[in-house]
Amino acid sequence: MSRRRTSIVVITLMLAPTLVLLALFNYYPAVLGLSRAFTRWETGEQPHWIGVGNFVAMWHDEFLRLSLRNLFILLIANVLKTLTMPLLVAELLMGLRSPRWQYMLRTAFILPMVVPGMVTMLLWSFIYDGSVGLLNHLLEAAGMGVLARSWLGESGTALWAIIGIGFPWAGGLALLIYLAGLNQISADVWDSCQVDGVSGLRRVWYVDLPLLLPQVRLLVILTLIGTLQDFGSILILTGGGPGLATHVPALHMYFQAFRFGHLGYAAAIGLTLFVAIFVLSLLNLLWGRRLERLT
Amino acid sequence: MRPSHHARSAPAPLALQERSWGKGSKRRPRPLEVLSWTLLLILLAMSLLPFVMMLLLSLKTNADIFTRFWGLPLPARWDFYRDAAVALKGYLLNTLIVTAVVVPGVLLFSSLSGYALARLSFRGRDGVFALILALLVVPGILTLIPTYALVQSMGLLNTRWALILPYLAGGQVLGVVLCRTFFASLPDELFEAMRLDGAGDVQIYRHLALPLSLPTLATIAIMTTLGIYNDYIWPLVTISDSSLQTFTVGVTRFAGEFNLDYGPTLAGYVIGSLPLIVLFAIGMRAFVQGVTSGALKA
Repeated sequence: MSRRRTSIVVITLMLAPTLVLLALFNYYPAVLGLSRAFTRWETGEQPHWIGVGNFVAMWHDEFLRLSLRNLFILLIANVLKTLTMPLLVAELLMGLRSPRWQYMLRTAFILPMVVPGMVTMLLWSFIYDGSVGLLNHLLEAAGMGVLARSWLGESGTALWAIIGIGFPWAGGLALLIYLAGLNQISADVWDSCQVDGVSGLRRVWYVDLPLLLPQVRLLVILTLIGTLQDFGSILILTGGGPGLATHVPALHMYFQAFRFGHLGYAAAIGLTLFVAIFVLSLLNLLWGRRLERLT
Repeated sequence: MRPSHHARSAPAPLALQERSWGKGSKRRPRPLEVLSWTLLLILLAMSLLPFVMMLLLSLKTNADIFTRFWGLPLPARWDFYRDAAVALKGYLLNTLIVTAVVVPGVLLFSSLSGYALARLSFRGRDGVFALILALLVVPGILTLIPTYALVQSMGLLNTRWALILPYLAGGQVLGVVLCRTFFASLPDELFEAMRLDGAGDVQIYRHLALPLSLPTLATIAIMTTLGIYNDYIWPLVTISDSSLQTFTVGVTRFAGEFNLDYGPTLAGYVIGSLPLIVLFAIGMRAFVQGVTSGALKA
């Protein structure tokens, strides 16, 4: 096929807005993020090279070390949340015989996704409130009023309260992705399951789950990446406190940069988180390759 | 990282197809199905409870909340909604202005670049596309501080440009990828036919590619809108003047105006949720696609 050549001027004009904006606001900051991590760079001052100084400082940073424990708990909890309830709801929805009800219930389950994330956060901080919170009212109604407390305000419960947000964690993106995956499973597969008398939990475990591995893989990596980066919700809910009870590395980065003006040190934390994300993504990719070879 | 559902010719949207096992069988409801229904309804009620609480308490005075938490809002204080709307109006308007500038820009630039990268041949084309794809793996956590320093050195802090320009750039990463994938999936014959009729590239883009890509553009538009609406950290650090501040930051502060009155505060949360709910109602398909393809941007 002979393709007429378009004048280079037209091509340049078409690509220019994208390339200029990306160069300025995406590539340049990315490169800067890599290089400034190796500088001493305080707000209002010129950066100067200190090699791995920031990383040595990170190693000795007690706050950072303590925040890693919280991050670890959050990572595990969030992955567990993604792997259980949305999958259960997806399977239950697929089991409904009326497509219309299936559709309507699915819509109802993803409705909370439509509420702005910040509103959900503020709503949950209201639910956990010590005086007017819904949770305390529920406990009192159930005769367990002695348990009532300011859930985000006590260091023993704050991290678990953050994990509890969105309970029962049934809808959202994970549900959509599981449903898409289940819909891709050919009807023949389930028909032959029925013929062979493989049903219920046994079918889910031996047939659906192996076929859903690509979706599981996607959700695990998305959850890990999201959890490593997210600090906005913690900033709003507890500010990392009480004490350091909900402090995480990304929040540490934010405080170092925007409260204390240690931009270089913050950039080093950012770079470290990026490397962690990158390594996890690579591992995820390798996992995918192995799955492909097995099937 | 394959937004392949856009490339497929059958426009079956992700997760919207319906199928049930055992369909069409007219047997009595099995105990399993009854159990499914029960579980689903319990889980649904628990998921929606916070939002029902938001609606009910938004109509109550503090005294009412403290003394009769579970009671119905009688009399309902609808005036709280007016108060909250007045307090949030400026923030919502700022978000609207930024969105109204960014979204058309992202759509225009993404579709132009996507068209050039998919349908025009020039040297270095694949290299340019690979460079844009590479940005998908650059997380915001790496670029937050350098971008802040950049915007500061450009003298844009505390102006709308501090929001508009980075959003316009960032929205294009996935925008270009989705547009290019879509344009590349269209059959060559369509383009050849228009060429034979003497149409130039600009005309082909304008009269063939652009109209066909409307579903893809709707997906990108919704994704970009969601991104802007939900962004908290960037406006928090770049905008200090509250008359320029966006909804997501503003909503965390406006409660102070009501002396800790919960009713109007919760009414404000409801009002702030309306724009996205309307967006969802208008284009649920594009919305679902937007959220799922947004997930591909790691």
